[in-house]
Parts: sequence; structure tokens; C-alpha cells
Amino acid sequence: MGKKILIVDDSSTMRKIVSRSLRQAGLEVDTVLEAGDGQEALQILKGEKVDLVLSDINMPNMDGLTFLREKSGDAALKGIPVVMISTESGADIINEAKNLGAKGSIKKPFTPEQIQETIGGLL
Amino acid sequence: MSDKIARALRTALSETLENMAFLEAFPEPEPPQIQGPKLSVSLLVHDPLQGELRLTAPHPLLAEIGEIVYALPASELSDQLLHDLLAEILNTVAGGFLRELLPDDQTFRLGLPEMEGHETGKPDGQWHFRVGSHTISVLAWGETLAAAPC
Repeated sequence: MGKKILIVDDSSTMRKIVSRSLRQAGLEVDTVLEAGDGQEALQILKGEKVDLVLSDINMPNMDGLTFLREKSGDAALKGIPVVMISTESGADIINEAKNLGAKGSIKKPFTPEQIQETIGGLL
Repeated sequence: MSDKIARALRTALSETLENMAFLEAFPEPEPPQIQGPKLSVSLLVHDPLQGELRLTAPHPLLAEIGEIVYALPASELSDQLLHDLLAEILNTVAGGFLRELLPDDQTFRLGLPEMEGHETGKPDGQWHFRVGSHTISVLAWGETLAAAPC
């Protein structure tokens, strides 16, 4: 059965690129939801059953790390896996994301193969 | 340092465009004469280098990339969509550029892409690249970011 994925990025371009890469990676995804920031993502997660979140870090309103912090504080949302997709790749930012519950990270630019490799096992 | 910056920018730009639209970037020694409409977007780099990067590209090139990214005909791509596309190209290029320049795992901090740039004076560095039949330019302000004189 196909999975439901939420893509969180302030750039509509990047949301389209991630969505296209998911299809090219051959993952069994039948629904892709989109959010423009962490706040919008939390709202969607409260109303939809999502299998995986792919989130940017650097976003206006609510950034990716704050989103992770808020999500991990909500018992109903805590278990949903999140993978960060970002230009930021410093060890301290990635470690902070992992400490807040992120299951992995992907650097921009990325290939469909890298998407498959990172999230294939989480679906 | 100038060569290192040019190489880092070319690598970052080529990887970004190849992943987005299967295009490659080749260095051009001279500033381009961009005919017709063009779009620009700027991004502040906060840490550990400080400065501003600005990317300028001709409208037809962005429409060409946009057709691939959005799977829409060029006639249906609004300027807002093309600005968003250029912003994401600059954001991704800036990240790749800093990763090329800085030691492994060095943390860096970028601002958010903006249509209006902050700097208006002469840039501290400028680099030009041919992409297909078009030319795009990257301008940089801030001595620590663009340690190469124009």
C-alpha cells in the first residue's frame, strides 16, 4: 500500500523537486502533502495520518529545528519519522536535529538515489 | 583564493542545475550581455563568512528549467514561480559553495533568499557561467566571502 509523505519547505520549487525525486526513486508513495513552514506542518500532522515528513531547516515563521522540538513534545505526533533536507550540513545542526528526533538528513542538491537510500527503510 | 572560489561556485552551480534540470555550467570570462528580461535574487551569508550573494539569470533560461521542475509549459510559469525557482537555485548553490570552501562539517548559516538585494555598490567578486545557450552571473559582496577582487 502506498504511503503518505509531507514535504515541508518554504520554497514551492523545492517541494516540487522533492516530490519529483520521490517518484523517480521508485518509492511507494501515493499521497504527497506540502507545507510552507513548521507551523503549517504541525497543523497538517494534527489532521492527517502521515507516514514520513521531509523537512527543510532554514524556513521563516517556524524553522525545521523548532518544528522538530514542537513535534517531539506532542505525544500524538512524536512517533512520525522526520528526515531533514537542507543546505545546512554542519555536524552541530545535524546532531541537534537528530537529538530532537530526526531519523536522517539529506543535503541539497540531492539525487533520487540519495532520497531512496535515506528514506527507503523508513517507509 | 580566486581560483578556489571560482571552482567552488562552478561545482555548486553545476551540481544544482544538473540535479534540477540536467544542465551544466561552464565558466565565462566576460560579464554577459543579457538581452531581454532577467531576474535576480539575493541571499545573505551570516556565518562563518559574511556577505551577500546575488544570482542573475535570463528569463528564458529560468523558463526552460521551470518547465522541467514544474512539468508545466513555459506559458503557464508566472514570474513569481520563476523567482521562487531562482531563489531555490541560489539557496542550493550557496550551500554547496560554502561546503566546497569550508572544512568538512563546518557549520554555516544562511539567510533566506530575497528579491531585493541589500548591497548596491560595486561587488567584491563576480563570476559568470554559460548554461546551455544562456549566461548567468553570481555577484558577491563582503571581503571574507568574495576574497577575490573584480
